[in-house]
Amino acid sequence: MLLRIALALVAMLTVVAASGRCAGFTYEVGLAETHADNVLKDSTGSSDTYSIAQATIRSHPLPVLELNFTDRYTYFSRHPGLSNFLHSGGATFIPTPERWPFSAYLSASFDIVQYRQQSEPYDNRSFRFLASLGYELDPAVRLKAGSKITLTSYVNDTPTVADHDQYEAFAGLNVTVLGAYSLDVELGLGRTNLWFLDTSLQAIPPPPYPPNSPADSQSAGHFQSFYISPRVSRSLGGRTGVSITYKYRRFTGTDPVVVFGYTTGYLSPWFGVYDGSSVTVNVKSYLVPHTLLGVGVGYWQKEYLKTLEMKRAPFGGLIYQLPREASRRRDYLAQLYVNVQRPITVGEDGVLEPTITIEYAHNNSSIPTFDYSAATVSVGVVFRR
Amino acid sequence: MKPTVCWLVLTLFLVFTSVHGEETSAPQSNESQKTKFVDLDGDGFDDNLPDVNRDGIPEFMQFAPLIATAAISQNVIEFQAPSGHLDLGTGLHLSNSQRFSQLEFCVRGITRHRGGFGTGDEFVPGSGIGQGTSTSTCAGGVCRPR
Repeated sequence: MLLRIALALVAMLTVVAASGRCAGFTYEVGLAETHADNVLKDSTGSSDTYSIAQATIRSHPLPVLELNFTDRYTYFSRHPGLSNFLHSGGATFIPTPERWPFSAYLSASFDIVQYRQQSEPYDNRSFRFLASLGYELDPAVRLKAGSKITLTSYVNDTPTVADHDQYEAFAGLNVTVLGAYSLDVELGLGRTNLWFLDTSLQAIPPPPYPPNSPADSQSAGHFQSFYISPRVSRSLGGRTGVSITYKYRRFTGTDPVVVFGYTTGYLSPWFGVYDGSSVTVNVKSYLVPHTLLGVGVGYWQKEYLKTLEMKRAPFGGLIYQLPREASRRRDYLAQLYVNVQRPITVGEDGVLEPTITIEYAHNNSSIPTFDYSAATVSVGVVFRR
Repeated sequence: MKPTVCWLVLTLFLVFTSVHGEETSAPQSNESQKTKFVDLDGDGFDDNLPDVNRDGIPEFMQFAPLIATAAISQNVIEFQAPSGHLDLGTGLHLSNSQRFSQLEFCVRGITRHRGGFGTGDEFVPGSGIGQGTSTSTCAGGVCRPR
């Protein structure tokens, strides 16, 4: 499989290389191999090795406009149903000149994700629109504000209870303090629609599901999100940069919301969504010549939406919980990574970037199923021109 | 998360960086001679450091020992970061891609934000392929199989 992907990439690269330089194209191709000793990140500890091949073409018909297209294939060797194709594209427009204190950024993009037959219900399309503005009050003080719309639809989902539209607005301030510290504060609001099981629901239809599937028991609603995130960064000794980021996210309007969980076969897109707080520290260093070294540690306190799972029936078998029995899952996650990259210039304007990443995560959860430790090693190489 | 933990981490961060960052803070205090320290992408480095060959490593780093020696001997700031990413002239000889790259640098602080309803935090940088190692098993926005 990987060989076929590599051949396809080489063919694509050849076509691009033949036409690219004169037509104002740039391109990027990459391969990565990852081994995860707990790929599902739960107490089953199921390991897997997955491969990713990716190609991106960027075109600039005007100096202020970029068009880009990406194809990516991810192949899981032990969980082949998760293997998927991603097709994405977009346009970015930057209408403001370089030396203006005022800047504007407009971006529109789409993603199409296609899974293998086993996971086809998760095939989805999403469209994203981002408009943001910046203003330089002073060389050391910058303001920003923006808005983002994300529209997601699940193409094989019937009824279409997983589709959702999200609207976000954000604002921020970046200021240099004490000469060498950069303080970046950001806050924002969001609103999304969703389909959920109301906590007042007294029963969920038993099998056979069609036409009365459990999904039919859901009703439409929405909830809001608020976040604030300060970040402080600075350079240490010229060759090392360090930053610390705090983020607090809180949902409102989720009290009556219950979503289908892991064991139900009707996994909700909202199953993995959480609010809470996190603090992360990232270090980036050029201490080793020609090499980029990244190290990060982070700690998250997560509180998920109420999730409905299966439970054992009194006389054997499994039945759905009642929505009022659902509880919020609380997780405490600690994570660490080390990332080493060695960029190599190729010719006049080509760069080859081999990278190795090692990651470790330890999670404590209020639901024992999600108590886990996970170690992941990833090796990848990207060539861009 | 308990607020005291956050304050403790932040205090440790400030104390640690103020002690270990002294060697760079001294020249940066000479405001009249250089551009201000600006870090819109949050990597801890001054964004004005040039990266002419686009390999992700500022050229300043490759000549840092030499520059540092010169700075000490002359007691001046030798490294004058250009305003903007690359001062490649008036733009008359640049390709559309290069000119877009310059514009993209100017808006680097407004191209993304840290909010949203996402399930991942983009914490692990990975190899630039996909979204890092953490979120590669996501199916339809959910990081679990059916």
